[in-house]
Amino acid sequence: MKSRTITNVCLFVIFATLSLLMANKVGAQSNTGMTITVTPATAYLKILPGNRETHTITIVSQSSQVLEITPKVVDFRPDGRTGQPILSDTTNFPYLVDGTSHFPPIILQPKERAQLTLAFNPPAGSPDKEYPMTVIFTARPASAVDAMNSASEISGAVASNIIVLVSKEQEPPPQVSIKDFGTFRLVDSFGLISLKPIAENESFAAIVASGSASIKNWQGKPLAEFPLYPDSILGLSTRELRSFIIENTPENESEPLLVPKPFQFDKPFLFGIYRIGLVLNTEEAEITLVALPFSIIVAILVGAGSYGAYTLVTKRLRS
Amino acid sequence: MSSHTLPIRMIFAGIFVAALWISYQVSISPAQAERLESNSYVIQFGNFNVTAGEKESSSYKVTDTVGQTGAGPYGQYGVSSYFIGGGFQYIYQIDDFSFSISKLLINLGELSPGAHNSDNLTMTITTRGAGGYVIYAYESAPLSLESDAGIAIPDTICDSGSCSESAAGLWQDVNVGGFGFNVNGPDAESDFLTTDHFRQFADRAGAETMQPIASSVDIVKDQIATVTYKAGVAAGSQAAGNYQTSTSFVAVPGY
Repeated sequence: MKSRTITNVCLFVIFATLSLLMANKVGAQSNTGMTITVTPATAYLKILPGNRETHTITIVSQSSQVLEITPKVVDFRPDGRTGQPILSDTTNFPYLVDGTSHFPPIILQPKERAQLTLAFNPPAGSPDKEYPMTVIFTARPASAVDAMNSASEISGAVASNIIVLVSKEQEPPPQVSIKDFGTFRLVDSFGLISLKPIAENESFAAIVASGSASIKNWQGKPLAEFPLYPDSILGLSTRELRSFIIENTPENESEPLLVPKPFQFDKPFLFGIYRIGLVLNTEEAEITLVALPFSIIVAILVGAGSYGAYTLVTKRLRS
Repeated sequence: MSSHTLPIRMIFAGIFVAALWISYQVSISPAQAERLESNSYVIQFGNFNVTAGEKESSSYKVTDTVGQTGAGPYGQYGVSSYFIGGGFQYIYQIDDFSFSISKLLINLGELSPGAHNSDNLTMTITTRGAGGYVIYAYESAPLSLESDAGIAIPDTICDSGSCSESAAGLWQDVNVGGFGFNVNGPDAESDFLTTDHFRQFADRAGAETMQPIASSVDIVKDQIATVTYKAGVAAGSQAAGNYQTSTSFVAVPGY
């Protein structure tokens, strides 16, 4: 009798434990978040008209809940200064095979990954043109989350850029120019020389900025040189150029990182004429700056003007 | 019943239960690799190798020159390897882009006149591409009564009546109703001057264009922004009930 009781108790404990473990697997949907990673962030694809090319994007869910992912292709345009895309709602790209820019939803289990492969097929004779696009992966919980009160459901989307160049040119001829140096010609002696040069790509295909900026004094003596960060300048667009420094990341010292930096030349006291030179791919340009202690000059002028006004007023009051 | 049969019974009982549990686990495990395709796309998931991303090589070294003069990012026909070779080993445009949202439901509670209710979430973003990123936001439609979508809490116009989906305004007056949001973090758009400056969501149903709410032109790792939702009702003008909408955040890498 006693042994049978012990047996029954042991079996009950085993079943109860397993039941608890199973309940965690099928528990009610809780308000947890989502984490999505997409690779690559940006890709460039060149297609010879008449050929078919493909491009694959990998999406990984590090979320703890099942997500429904809906891909969609849209166009983007550059903002003219940075590399941040301005998205459209649709795409006008005519060479997606079957012409579809919407895709069926993907159900991603927790920690699962999926790949989306796009196929492009521009016919022979297609005009040379660049098509910047973004593939948006919109994620929402696969099952609805109950809201007891006023609420807002959230969906998150992560994107991957694909810039497609349709061209029969093996190497499209670059046509780049320096539109603006992005600096004032007069600089205060106690300030710094700061450049925000704008480059214009007049070709239909993207180029990569390459070159350097230099600062020389009135005697032509080099004072500073800044390499250009290799930013992409999309076809028929502009972009603000940047310099860079090389930093070793703490996580991996054998893999240094090019970190973009603005062009800034800081000296305790600037005075005289400075020549700013910029070499961008095959283009060269130079401007001249004048540095004077304008802050002191302005302070003296304001002081003199105030004294003069004060003298005039007091003279008139006496008379 | 002899004493040595008891442990044997327990052992068999345990084996039986374990077999049941293992069978259950196997039956609910994810399906093996599945493939959906048409002529324009292939969707494949399961176990496979990631083809893009960082590649290791003992021959990588810091380059003296940064690319060829006048070169573009394309190279040969097909997907470019320009940023993973040819002098750009340390440019990570082709690397991962990661976006997290801490929760997928914002609970605004029971709305009543003379009070604002709020709730928040955090967004986390990581990109090694030096084009940075931008996050856009929009709502599918205004915050509407669950039982009648024609009755809505309008998007906030803030205390001064001048905030919009692209320009935040100060919103502290509890007698000013509406629905809006604030973004707080190092990369939040500059019009979010304080945590009391709110914008409307761009209304997708009203054909409004989604707006950038946070961005950076630099590489970021685990950059966090906090989004605070706020809703309130003006006195005597709003039907009682639960109001619902859906809002979306779109994270786009720079190029």
